[in-house]
Amino acid sequence: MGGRKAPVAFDRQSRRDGACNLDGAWNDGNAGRGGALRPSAPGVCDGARPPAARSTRLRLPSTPSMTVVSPTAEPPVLAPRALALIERVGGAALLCQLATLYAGYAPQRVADARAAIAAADAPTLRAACHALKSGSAQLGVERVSARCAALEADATAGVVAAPAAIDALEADLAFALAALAARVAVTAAEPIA
Amino acid sequence: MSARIAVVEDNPDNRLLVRAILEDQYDVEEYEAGPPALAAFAVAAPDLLLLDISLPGMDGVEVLRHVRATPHLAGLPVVALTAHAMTGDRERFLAAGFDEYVTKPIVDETILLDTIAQRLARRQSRPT
Repeated sequence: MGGRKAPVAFDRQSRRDGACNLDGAWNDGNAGRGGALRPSAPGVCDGARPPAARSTRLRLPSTPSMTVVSPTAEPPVLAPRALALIERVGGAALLCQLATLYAGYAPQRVADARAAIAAADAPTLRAACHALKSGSAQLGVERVSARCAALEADATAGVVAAPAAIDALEADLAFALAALAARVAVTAAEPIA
Repeated sequence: MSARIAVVEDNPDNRLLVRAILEDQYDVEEYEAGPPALAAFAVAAPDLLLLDISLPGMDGVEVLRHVRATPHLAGLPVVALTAHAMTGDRERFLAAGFDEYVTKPIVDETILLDTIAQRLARRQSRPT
């Protein structure tokens, strides 16, 4: 654990350019079909056009206010309020940077939770789920956050979930990462006001 | 000169978002854990501390205890920035010595900005 963190620079010049190259930053969303999440390579939010549509694996309609909902519905995969804050504060550039950071650490947190379950280690499970809950909620990754909240609550009570709960979390995370990539692409493609 | 806001938060994306919200108005310094923050505050105290609760190792409440026990930091405004948002959490953290309590996720940046502005104004108006 280091000391004072060199801040991740938030490039205000490129915030309005909105370009984001997420190549390599996302897994292919196949965890629910037997694939495995993997920690991602650092994404690049480089301020260069074209926007990131080419980088995404899941294409969604370009509806700026869309809420992405998985086939099984509640709660939504991506929550519009949290995303609206990010886009209001820093536009596509900030959304890209946050999404890239999240894609970098979230799979590892899931792996930590899975290892904690295997070891019947409730405190470590609680810590991993709390951290992922918080980061997910701030990025609007609501379903993952809700699953983590449930796992955290159980772990706080000393109950270690079954591995199947992590399978479900992993599948939701994969879906959310793909949806997030699509959202980044949509935001980057929007005309600058 | 801008006020200095220290942010102690282990999630890098949360730190980046807070920086993006604050940096137009304040000098923001980031720490991912309590001990390095306390070491830095021993040299130069910030004007306000935004402190996560669930930090690895030394948690936010323990960091706060160290702050309050350090003479030149004892009056530092400390705002809990936390995902602990259950009934009673606010009262619990205020009773522990936090000056304010802001919940994560942040969905309205004006709540955070107003809280900081009010705390800084209160500090400046305090008789010395």
